[in-house]
Amino acid sequence: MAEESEFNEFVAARSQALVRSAYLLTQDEGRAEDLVQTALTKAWFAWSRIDDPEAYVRRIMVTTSASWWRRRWIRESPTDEPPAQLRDSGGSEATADEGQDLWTAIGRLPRRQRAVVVLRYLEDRTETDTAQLLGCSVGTVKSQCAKALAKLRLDTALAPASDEGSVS
Amino acid sequence: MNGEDLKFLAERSWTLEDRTPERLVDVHHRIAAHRRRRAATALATVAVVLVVLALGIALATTGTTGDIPDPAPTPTPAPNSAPIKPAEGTCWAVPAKLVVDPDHWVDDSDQVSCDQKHTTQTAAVLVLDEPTIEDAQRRIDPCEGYVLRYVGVSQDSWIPWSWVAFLPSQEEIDDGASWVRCDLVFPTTWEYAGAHATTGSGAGIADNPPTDRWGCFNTLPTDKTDQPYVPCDNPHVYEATGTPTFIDGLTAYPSVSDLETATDEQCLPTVPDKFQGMAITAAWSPRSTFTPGGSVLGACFAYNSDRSPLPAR
Repeated sequence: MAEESEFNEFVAARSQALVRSAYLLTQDEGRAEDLVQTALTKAWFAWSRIDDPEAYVRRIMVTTSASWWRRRWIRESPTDEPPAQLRDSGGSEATADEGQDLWTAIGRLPRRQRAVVVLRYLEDRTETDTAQLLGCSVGTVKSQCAKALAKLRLDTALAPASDEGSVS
Repeated sequence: MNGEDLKFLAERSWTLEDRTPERLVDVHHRIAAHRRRRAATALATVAVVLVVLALGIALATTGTTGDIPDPAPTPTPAPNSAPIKPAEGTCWAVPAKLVVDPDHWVDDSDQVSCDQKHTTQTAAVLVLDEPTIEDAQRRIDPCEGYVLRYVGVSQDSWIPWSWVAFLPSQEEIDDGASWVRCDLVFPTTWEYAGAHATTGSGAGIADNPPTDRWGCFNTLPTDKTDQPYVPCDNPHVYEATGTPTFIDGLTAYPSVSDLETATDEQCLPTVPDKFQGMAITAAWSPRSTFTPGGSVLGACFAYNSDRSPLPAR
Protein backbone atom coordinates (compact mmCIF):
# COMPACT_ATOMS: atom_id res chain seq x y z
CA MET A 1 0.00 0.00 0.00
CA ALA A 2 1.49 3.32 -1.08
CA GLU A 3 0.41 5.14 2.06
CA GLU A 4 1.98 2.55 4.34
CA SER A 5 5.16 2.58 2.35
CA GLU A 6 5.31 6.38 2.50
CA PHE A 7 4.68 6.28 6.22
CA ASN A 8 7.40 3.68 6.77
CA GLU A 9 9.85 5.71 4.76
CA PHE A 10 9.02 8.77 6.80
CA VAL A 11 9.52 6.90 10.08
CA ALA A 12 12.80 5.45 8.85
CA ALA A 13 14.10 8.78 7.62
CA ARG A 14 12.88 11.21 10.25
CA SER A 15 11.94 9.48 13.47
CA GLN A 16 15.39 9.59 15.05
CA ALA A 17 15.49 13.35 14.54
CA LEU A 18 12.04 13.51 16.07
CA VAL A 19 13.21 11.50 19.06
CA ARG A 20 16.09 13.92 19.55
CA SER A 21 13.65 16.82 19.59
CA ALA A 22 11.35 14.94 21.92
CA TYR A 23 14.26 14.29 24.23
CA LEU A 24 15.05 17.97 24.41
CA LEU A 25 11.40 18.66 25.21
CA THR A 26 10.93 15.92 27.80
CA GLN A 27 14.50 15.47 29.06
CA ASP A 28 13.80 11.77 29.41
CA GLU A 29 14.71 9.11 26.85
CA GLY A 30 11.75 6.83 27.60
CA ARG A 31 9.22 9.60 27.52
CA ALA A 32 10.77 10.93 24.31
CA GLU A 33 10.38 7.57 22.61
CA ASP A 34 6.80 7.26 23.88
CA LEU A 35 5.98 10.78 22.75
CA VAL A 36 7.28 10.17 19.23
CA GLN A 37 5.52 6.83 18.90
CA THR A 38 2.26 8.34 20.12
CA ALA A 39 2.59 11.19 17.64
CA LEU A 40 3.47 8.84 14.77
CA THR A 41 0.52 6.60 15.55
CA LYS A 42 -1.79 9.58 15.49
CA ALA A 43 -0.21 10.75 12.25
CA TRP A 44 -0.84 7.38 10.64
CA PHE A 45 -4.58 7.75 11.05
CA ALA A 46 -4.47 11.21 9.51
CA TRP A 47 -1.85 10.38 6.89
CA SER A 48 -4.03 10.99 3.83
CA ARG A 49 -4.99 14.45 5.11
CA ILE A 50 -1.51 15.61 6.08
CA ASP A 51 0.43 17.88 3.76
CA ASP A 52 3.59 18.08 5.82
CA PRO A 53 4.00 14.98 8.00
CA GLU A 54 7.01 16.24 9.92
CA ALA A 55 5.33 19.49 10.87
CA TYR A 56 2.22 17.57 11.87
CA VAL A 57 4.12 15.11 14.04
CA ARG A 58 6.28 17.81 15.60
CA ARG A 59 3.21 19.82 16.42
CA ILE A 60 1.61 16.85 18.16
CA MET A 61 4.83 16.27 20.06
CA VAL A 62 5.17 19.84 21.18
CA THR A 63 1.57 20.12 22.29
CA THR A 64 1.60 16.83 24.16
CA SER A 65 5.10 16.97 25.58
CA ALA A 66 3.92 17.56 29.11
CA SER A 67 1.64 15.35 31.08
CA TRP A 68 -0.98 17.96 30.65
CA TRP A 69 -4.00 16.04 31.66
CA ARG A 70 -2.70 14.91 34.97
CA ARG A 71 -5.64 14.96 37.31
CA ARG A 72 -3.51 16.05 40.20
CA TRP A 73 -6.41 16.33 42.52
CA ILE A 74 -7.16 12.64 42.34
CA ARG A 75 -5.37 10.59 44.91
CA GLU A 76 -2.64 13.17 45.10
CA SER A 77 -0.27 12.23 47.87
CA PRO A 78 2.64 14.21 49.23
CA THR A 79 5.97 13.21 47.81
CA ASP A 80 9.04 12.41 49.83
CA GLU A 81 11.25 13.74 47.09
CA PRO A 82 13.44 16.64 48.10
CA PRO A 83 13.06 19.96 46.30
CA ALA A 84 14.91 20.46 43.06
CA GLN A 85 18.64 20.25 43.44
CA LEU A 86 20.41 23.43 44.25
CA ARG A 87 23.70 24.28 42.73
CA ASP A 88 26.73 22.68 44.30
CA SER A 89 28.67 25.51 45.83
CA GLY A 90 31.97 23.77 45.21
CA GLY A 91 32.37 25.44 41.85
CA SER A 92 34.58 22.74 40.33
CA GLU A 93 34.00 21.23 36.90
CA ALA A 94 32.35 24.49 35.98
CA THR A 95 31.45 23.71 32.40
CA ALA A 96 29.81 20.35 33.05
CA ASP A 97 27.98 21.76 36.06
CA GLU A 98 26.82 24.73 34.06
CA GLY A 99 25.44 22.48 31.36
CA GLN A 100 23.63 20.34 33.90
CA ASP A 101 22.31 23.42 35.68
CA LEU A 102 21.01 24.89 32.45
CA TRP A 103 19.44 21.57 31.54
CA THR A 104 17.76 21.40 34.95
CA ALA A 105 16.59 24.99 34.70
CA ILE A 106 15.10 24.44 31.24
CA GLY A 107 13.27 21.42 32.63
CA ARG A 108 11.64 23.69 35.18
CA LEU A 109 10.26 26.11 32.60
CA PRO A 110 6.53 25.98 31.89
CA ARG A 111 5.83 23.58 29.05
CA ARG A 112 5.16 26.20 26.40
CA GLN A 113 8.18 28.29 27.29
CA ARG A 114 10.35 25.19 27.32
CA ALA A 115 9.06 24.30 23.86
CA VAL A 116 9.88 27.77 22.57
CA VAL A 117 13.40 27.60 24.02
CA VAL A 118 14.02 24.15 22.57
CA LEU A 119 12.72 25.04 19.13
CA ARG A 120 14.33 28.48 18.90
CA TYR A 121 17.71 27.85 20.47
CA LEU A 122 18.42 24.15 20.81
CA GLU A 123 17.01 23.34 17.37
CA ASP A 124 17.91 26.73 15.93
CA ARG A 125 14.52 27.30 14.30
CA THR A 126 13.31 30.68 13.14
CA GLU A 127 10.60 32.54 15.01
CA THR A 128 8.21 31.92 12.13
CA ASP A 129 8.97 28.22 12.05
CA THR A 130 8.58 28.00 15.83
CA ALA A 131 5.26 29.85 15.69
CA GLN A 132 3.97 27.47 13.03
CA LEU A 133 4.95 24.42 15.04
CA LEU A 134 3.37 25.77 18.19
CA GLY A 135 0.28 27.07 16.43
CA CYS A 136 0.71 30.58 17.75
CA SER A 137 1.79 34.00 16.50
CA VAL A 138 5.38 35.16 16.07
CA GLY A 139 4.62 37.75 18.74
CA THR A 140 3.76 35.00 21.18
CA VAL A 141 7.02 33.21 20.38
CA LYS A 142 8.95 36.41 21.06
CA SER A 143 7.18 37.09 24.34
CA GLN A 144 7.49 33.47 25.50
CA CYS A 145 11.20 33.50 24.63
CA ALA A 146 11.73 36.68 26.62
CA LYS A 147 9.83 35.28 29.59
CA ALA A 148 11.72 31.99 29.42
CA LEU A 149 15.11 33.66 29.32
CA ALA A 150 14.12 35.95 32.18
CA LYS A 151 13.04 32.92 34.21
CA LEU A 152 16.28 31.10 33.44
CA ARG A 153 18.27 34.09 34.66
CA LEU A 154 16.42 33.93 37.97
CA ASP A 155 16.51 30.15 38.35
CA THR A 156 18.13 28.99 41.58
CA ALA A 157 20.12 26.39 39.66
CA LEU A 158 21.79 29.16 37.73
CA ALA A 159 22.12 31.70 40.50
CA PRO A 160 25.66 32.63 41.48
CA ALA A 161 27.00 30.29 44.15
CA SER A 162 27.99 33.26 46.29
CA ASP A 163 28.02 37.00 46.08
CA GLU A 164 31.62 36.93 44.96
CA GLY A 165 32.06 38.43 41.60
CA SER A 166 28.69 40.10 41.51
CA VAL A 167 28.63 43.62 40.21
CA SER A 168 27.68 46.16 42.80
CA MET B 1 22.29 34.95 29.39
CA ASN B 2 20.82 34.88 25.93
CA GLY B 3 19.54 32.13 23.69
CA GLU B 4 22.96 31.55 22.15
CA ASP B 5 24.19 30.35 25.55
CA LEU B 6 21.79 27.42 25.36
CA LYS B 7 22.67 25.98 21.96
CA PHE B 8 25.34 23.60 23.19
CA LEU B 9 22.70 21.67 25.13
CA ALA B 10 21.35 20.29 21.86
CA GLU B 11 24.43 18.02 21.76
CA ARG B 12 22.85 15.95 24.53
CA SER B 13 20.28 14.57 22.13
CA TRP B 14 22.97 13.22 19.80
CA THR B 15 24.01 10.63 22.35
CA LEU B 16 20.69 8.77 22.02
CA GLU B 17 20.85 5.32 20.55
CA ASP B 18 19.28 5.03 17.11
CA ARG B 19 16.49 2.49 17.45
CA THR B 20 14.60 3.36 14.28
CA PRO B 21 13.95 -0.25 13.15
CA GLU B 22 12.49 -1.23 16.55
CA ARG B 23 10.52 2.01 16.60
CA LEU B 24 8.90 1.24 13.26
CA VAL B 25 7.79 -2.14 14.60
CA ASP B 26 6.52 -0.57 17.83
CA VAL B 27 4.56 2.09 15.98
CA HIS B 28 2.87 -0.53 13.80
CA HIS B 29 1.96 -2.48 16.93
CA ARG B 30 0.37 0.66 18.32
CA ILE B 31 -1.49 1.26 15.08
CA ALA B 32 -2.78 -2.32 15.10
CA ALA B 33 -3.86 -2.02 18.74
CA HIS B 34 -5.62 1.24 17.98
CA ARG B 35 -7.43 -0.39 15.07
CA ARG B 36 -8.48 -3.32 17.23
CA ARG B 37 -9.90 -0.94 19.80
CA ARG B 38 -11.80 0.95 17.14
CA ALA B 39 -13.10 -2.31 15.73
CA ALA B 40 -14.08 -3.51 19.19
CA THR B 41 -15.98 -0.29 19.78
CA ALA B 42 -17.77 -0.62 16.46
CA LEU B 43 -18.55 -4.28 17.09
CA ALA B 44 -19.85 -3.50 20.56
CA THR B 45 -22.13 -0.86 19.07
CA VAL B 46 -23.40 -3.28 16.47
CA ALA B 47 -23.88 -5.95 19.13
CA VAL B 48 -25.92 -3.59 21.28
CA VAL B 49 -28.09 -2.65 18.31
CA LEU B 50 -28.62 -6.33 17.43
CA VAL B 51 -29.48 -7.23 21.02
CA VAL B 52 -31.97 -4.38 21.23
CA LEU B 53 -33.50 -5.41 17.91
CA ALA B 54 -33.69 -9.05 18.96
CA LEU B 55 -35.31 -8.15 22.25
CA GLY B 56 -37.76 -5.91 20.47
CA ILE B 57 -38.69 -8.70 18.09
CA ALA B 58 -38.99 -11.18 20.94
CA LEU B 59 -41.23 -8.88 22.92
CA ALA B 60 -43.34 -8.09 19.89
CA THR B 61 -43.71 -11.79 19.13
CA THR B 62 -44.58 -12.90 22.64
CA GLY B 63 -46.47 -9.81 23.59
CA THR B 64 -45.02 -10.01 27.05
CA THR B 65 -42.77 -7.72 29.01
CA GLY B 66 -41.01 -10.36 31.02
CA ASP B 67 -37.64 -9.83 32.58
CA ILE B 68 -34.63 -9.80 30.34
CA PRO B 69 -32.87 -13.10 30.84
CA ASP B 70 -29.57 -12.95 32.64
CA PRO B 71 -26.59 -13.04 30.33
CA ALA B 72 -24.21 -15.95 30.53
CA PRO B 73 -22.27 -15.80 33.79
CA THR B 74 -18.78 -14.38 33.66
CA PRO B 75 -16.29 -17.24 33.71
CA THR B 76 -14.45 -17.51 36.99
CA PRO B 77 -11.25 -19.37 37.62
CA ALA B 78 -11.56 -22.87 38.95
CA PRO B 79 -11.11 -23.25 42.71
CA ASN B 80 -7.50 -23.38 43.87
CA SER B 81 -6.20 -22.07 40.55
CA ALA B 82 -4.01 -18.95 40.53
CA PRO B 83 -5.98 -15.79 39.88
CA ILE B 84 -5.86 -14.57 36.31
CA LYS B 85 -5.05 -10.96 35.56
CA PRO B 86 -8.03 -9.15 34.05
CA ALA B 87 -7.65 -8.47 30.35
CA GLU B 88 -7.46 -5.02 28.82
CA GLY B 89 -11.00 -3.93 28.08
CA THR B 90 -12.61 -5.75 31.01
CA CYS B 91 -15.62 -3.84 32.34
CA TRP B 92 -16.47 -3.59 36.03
CA ALA B 93 -19.60 -2.75 37.97
CA VAL B 94 -17.82 -0.88 40.74
CA PRO B 95 -20.41 0.99 42.82
CA ALA B 96 -20.21 4.63 41.72
CA LYS B 97 -19.44 5.94 45.19
CA LEU B 98 -16.52 3.51 45.52
CA VAL B 99 -15.09 4.60 42.18
CA VAL B 100 -14.50 8.06 43.61
CA ASP B 101 -13.60 6.95 47.12
CA PRO B 102 -9.85 7.57 47.46
CA ASP B 103 -9.64 4.93 50.18
CA HIS B 104 -11.18 2.17 48.10
CA TRP B 105 -8.30 0.14 46.72
CA VAL B 106 -9.05 -3.55 47.20
CA ASP B 107 -11.89 -4.08 44.80
CA ASP B 108 -14.11 -7.11 44.69
CA SER B 109 -16.60 -5.66 42.23
CA ASP B 110 -18.09 -7.87 39.55
CA GLN B 111 -16.66 -8.15 36.08
CA VAL B 112 -19.52 -7.57 33.66
CA SER B 113 -19.97 -7.71 29.96
CA CYS B 114 -19.27 -4.25 28.54
CA ASP B 115 -22.75 -4.33 27.02
CA GLN B 116 -24.07 -4.15 30.56
CA LYS B 117 -23.96 -1.04 32.71
CA HIS B 118 -20.51 -0.58 34.13
CA THR B 119 -18.59 2.21 35.81
CA THR B 120 -14.98 1.40 34.98
CA GLN B 121 -13.07 -0.36 32.23
CA THR B 122 -9.55 -1.69 32.49
CA ALA B 123 -7.04 -0.02 30.20
CA ALA B 124 -3.93 -1.66 31.63
CA VAL B 125 -2.84 -3.96 34.43
CA LEU B 126 0.50 -3.35 36.17
CA VAL B 127 2.24 -6.14 38.04
CA LEU B 128 3.24 -5.30 41.61
CA ASP B 129 6.00 -6.69 43.79
CA GLU B 130 3.54 -6.72 46.67
CA PRO B 131 -0.24 -6.38 46.39
CA THR B 132 -0.31 -3.46 48.79
CA ILE B 133 -1.67 0.04 48.57
CA GLU B 134 1.82 1.41 49.15
CA ASP B 135 3.31 -0.53 46.25
CA ALA B 136 0.36 0.37 44.05
CA GLN B 137 0.76 4.05 44.87
CA ARG B 138 4.40 3.87 43.89
CA ARG B 139 3.64 2.20 40.58
CA ILE B 140 0.52 3.83 39.20
CA ASP B 141 2.09 6.89 37.63
CA PRO B 142 1.94 5.35 34.15
CA CYS B 143 -1.78 4.59 34.57
CA GLU B 144 -2.79 8.00 33.39
CA GLY B 145 -0.92 7.61 30.11
CA TYR B 146 -2.30 4.13 29.52
CA VAL B 147 -5.86 5.25 30.16
CA LEU B 148 -5.40 8.41 28.12
CA ARG B 149 -4.24 6.41 25.13
CA TYR B 150 -6.92 3.80 25.69
CA VAL B 151 -9.76 6.30 25.56
CA GLY B 152 -8.03 8.22 22.76
CA VAL B 153 -7.94 11.63 24.42
CA SER B 154 -5.33 13.89 22.89
CA GLN B 155 -4.61 17.54 22.35
CA ASP B 156 -7.35 17.71 19.75
CA SER B 157 -9.89 15.22 20.98
CA TRP B 158 -10.87 15.87 24.57
CA ILE B 159 -13.87 14.41 26.31
CA PRO B 160 -14.54 14.25 30.05
CA TRP B 161 -12.56 11.30 31.34
CA SER B 162 -10.58 10.20 34.31
CA TRP B 163 -8.83 7.18 35.69
CA VAL B 164 -8.76 5.17 38.84
CA ALA B 165 -6.56 2.36 40.12
CA PHE B 166 -7.68 -0.74 41.98
CA LEU B 167 -6.00 -3.73 43.58
CA PRO B 168 -7.56 -7.18 43.08
CA SER B 169 -10.15 -8.51 45.54
CA GLN B 170 -8.92 -9.70 48.93
CA GLU B 171 -9.68 -13.27 47.90
CA GLU B 172 -7.54 -12.93 44.79
CA ILE B 173 -4.75 -11.32 46.80
CA ASP B 174 -4.90 -14.21 49.26
CA ASP B 175 -4.56 -16.55 46.29
CA GLY B 176 -1.45 -14.77 45.05
CA ALA B 177 -2.75 -11.95 42.82
CA SER B 178 -0.34 -9.02 42.71
CA TRP B 179 -1.36 -6.37 40.26
CA VAL B 180 -3.09 -3.03 40.02
CA ARG B 181 -5.73 -2.17 37.44
CA CYS B 182 -5.66 1.16 35.62
CA ASP B 183 -9.32 1.78 34.83
CA LEU B 184 -11.06 4.33 32.65
CA VAL B 185 -13.86 6.33 34.27
CA PHE B 186 -16.34 8.80 32.82
CA PRO B 187 -16.92 11.41 35.53
CA THR B 188 -20.32 12.94 36.22
CA THR B 189 -18.94 16.28 37.37
CA TRP B 190 -16.01 18.50 36.51
CA GLU B 191 -14.22 17.63 39.72
CA TYR B 192 -14.93 13.94 39.41
CA ALA B 193 -17.42 13.69 42.22
CA GLY B 194 -19.17 10.74 40.59
CA ALA B 195 -18.82 8.11 37.90
CA HIS B 196 -21.22 7.48 35.04
CA ALA B 197 -22.56 3.99 34.54
CA THR B 198 -22.28 3.44 30.81
CA THR B 199 -22.62 0.64 28.30
CA GLY B 200 -20.24 -0.19 25.50
CA SER B 201 -16.47 -0.04 25.39
CA GLY B 202 -14.65 3.23 26.02
CA ALA B 203 -11.68 2.14 23.90
CA GLY B 204 -10.78 4.86 21.43
CA ILE B 205 -14.08 6.55 22.06
CA ALA B 206 -12.61 10.06 22.15
CA ASP B 207 -11.95 9.77 18.41
CA ASN B 208 -15.65 9.75 17.70
CA PRO B 209 -17.53 10.15 20.97
CA PRO B 210 -21.23 9.54 21.23
CA THR B 211 -23.26 12.49 22.44
CA ASP B 212 -23.62 11.09 25.94
CA ARG B 213 -19.84 11.22 26.48
CA TRP B 214 -19.40 14.82 25.32
CA GLY B 215 -18.92 17.59 27.86
CA CYS B 216 -21.73 20.09 28.36
CA PHE B 217 -22.58 22.39 31.28
CA ASN B 218 -25.36 24.73 32.18
CA THR B 219 -23.09 26.54 34.61
CA LEU B 220 -19.39 26.73 34.04
CA PRO B 221 -17.34 25.34 36.91
CA THR B 222 -15.21 27.97 38.53
CA ASP B 223 -12.36 27.53 40.91
CA LYS B 224 -14.91 27.45 43.72
CA THR B 225 -17.77 25.33 42.55
CA ASP B 226 -17.88 21.92 41.00
CA GLN B 227 -20.56 21.44 38.35
CA PRO B 228 -22.25 18.38 36.93
CA TYR B 229 -22.03 17.62 33.24
CA VAL B 230 -25.46 17.88 31.66
CA PRO B 231 -26.72 15.77 28.75
CA CYS B 232 -25.60 17.33 25.48
CA ASP B 233 -28.64 15.92 23.71
CA ASN B 234 -30.75 18.46 25.58
CA PRO B 235 -30.34 22.23 25.26
CA HIS B 236 -27.33 23.37 27.28
CA VAL B 237 -25.40 26.57 27.83
CA TYR B 238 -21.75 25.49 27.47
CA GLU B 239 -20.45 22.84 25.09
CA ALA B 240 -16.92 21.45 24.96
CA THR B 241 -15.02 22.28 21.80
CA GLY B 242 -12.92 19.13 22.18
CA THR B 243 -9.64 20.75 23.20
CA PRO B 244 -7.90 20.57 26.57
CA THR B 245 -5.96 23.43 28.11
CA PHE B 246 -3.19 23.56 30.65
CA ILE B 247 -0.60 25.76 32.28
CA ASP B 248 2.27 24.09 34.08
CA GLY B 249 5.37 24.91 36.03
CA LEU B 250 3.39 27.25 38.26
CA THR B 251 4.42 28.47 41.68
CA ALA B 252 0.95 29.83 42.43
CA TYR B 253 -2.55 29.44 41.06
CA PRO B 254 -2.81 31.72 38.03
CA SER B 255 -4.60 35.04 38.10
CA VAL B 256 -7.86 35.48 36.22
CA SER B 257 -5.97 37.41 33.60
CA ASP B 258 -3.38 34.62 33.19
CA LEU B 259 -6.17 32.08 32.80
CA GLU B 260 -7.83 34.28 30.19
CA THR B 261 -4.58 34.64 28.28
CA ALA B 262 -4.06 30.87 28.31
CA THR B 263 -7.65 30.37 27.20
CA ASP B 264 -7.14 32.73 24.27
CA GLU B 265 -3.82 31.16 23.28
CA GLN B 266 -4.94 27.55 23.57
CA CYS B 267 -8.67 27.55 22.81
CA LEU B 268 -9.12 30.13 20.07
CA PRO B 269 -6.79 28.55 17.48
CA THR B 270 -8.54 25.21 17.82
CA VAL B 271 -12.22 26.15 17.70
CA PRO B 272 -14.06 23.84 15.30
CA ASP B 273 -16.10 25.40 12.51
CA LYS B 274 -19.41 24.69 14.21
CA PHE B 275 -18.47 27.01 17.07
CA GLN B 276 -16.98 29.80 14.96
CA GLY B 277 -18.33 33.19 15.95
CA MET B 278 -19.38 32.01 19.40
CA ALA B 279 -17.89 33.07 22.70
CA ILE B 280 -15.12 30.77 23.94
CA THR B 281 -14.04 30.16 27.48
CA ALA B 282 -12.33 27.45 29.48
CA ALA B 283 -13.12 25.54 32.63
CA TRP B 284 -10.04 25.13 34.81
CA SER B 285 -9.03 22.80 37.61
CA PRO B 286 -9.93 24.38 40.94
CA ARG B 287 -7.64 26.37 43.16
CA SER B 288 -8.22 23.88 45.97
CA THR B 289 -6.42 21.18 43.99
CA PHE B 290 -3.41 23.26 43.07
CA THR B 291 -0.01 22.44 44.49
CA PRO B 292 3.00 24.71 43.97
CA GLY B 293 5.12 23.49 41.11
CA GLY B 294 2.05 21.89 39.58
CA SER B 295 -0.32 22.59 36.75
CA VAL B 296 -3.78 23.85 36.18
CA LEU B 297 -5.74 21.93 33.62
CA GLY B 298 -8.85 22.70 31.74
CA ALA B 299 -10.97 22.31 28.68
CA CYS B 300 -12.34 24.76 26.12
CA PHE B 301 -16.05 25.47 25.95
CA ALA B 302 -18.19 27.44 23.49
CA TYR B 303 -21.30 29.40 24.47
CA ASN B 304 -23.62 32.12 23.26
CA SER B 305 -22.48 35.43 24.68
CA ASP B 306 -26.01 36.09 25.99
CA ARG B 307 -25.90 32.65 27.66
CA SER B 308 -28.92 31.54 25.67
CA PRO B 309 -29.08 27.74 25.36
CA LEU B 310 -27.27 25.92 22.61
CA PRO B 311 -29.31 23.36 20.69
CA ALA B 312 -29.09 19.68 21.53
CA ARG B 313 -25.91 18.25 20.09
